[in-house]
Amino acid sequence: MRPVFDTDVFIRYRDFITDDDIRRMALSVVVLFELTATTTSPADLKHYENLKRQYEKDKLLLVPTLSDWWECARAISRVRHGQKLASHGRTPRDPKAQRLQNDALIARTAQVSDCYVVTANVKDFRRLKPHLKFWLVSSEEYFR
Amino acid sequence: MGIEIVGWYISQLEDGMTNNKLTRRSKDESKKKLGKKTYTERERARIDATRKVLLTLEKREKAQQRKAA
Repeated sequence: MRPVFDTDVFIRYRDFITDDDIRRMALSVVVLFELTATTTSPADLKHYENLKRQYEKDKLLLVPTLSDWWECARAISRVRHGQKLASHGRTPRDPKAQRLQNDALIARTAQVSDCYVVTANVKDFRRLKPHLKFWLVSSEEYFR
Repeated sequence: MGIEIVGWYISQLEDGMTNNKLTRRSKDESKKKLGKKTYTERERARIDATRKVLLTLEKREKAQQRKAA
């Protein structure tokens, strides 16, 4: 089983990531999107392009399919339905809906590819756990 | 005759010592080799690409900190 690092792991734990971790890990295209979309420098963009090429070559780039998108939409809908019940019928205003979508896609593609998610933000992923099956490891535990 | 035998024995001892030294050295070297991870060309390329990205992130964070300060 390969680890899939969430975006925050790349940022917070970059000094702890070893060559062996990189050799073993798979890369989610959603993580690559989050990393790439937040850059403005053309030089950085080139680095991300190179990263994409390398993982694509080794077939370790996890790309969500139509069914992955569908399952994620269903899972998020269930999360929001749960919130609605908890708030006595009021429609939840989730400012993190986009973030939840990305987390769900990372989790779903990891599960389908027999990988586990390593994240520093366990709280958000835990909300998805009842509706989406995947293996979750906190970055604290992973880099201990 | 006796001196010859002693001489032969000493040379054997010396050989043994050097041999031991050699084996000891080679053992150490093999340990070092075991400690070093070997990666395939593709893995190395992937590692290099990721390392560059990690460095990029480090630079970006430092620039953000500088802006904030």
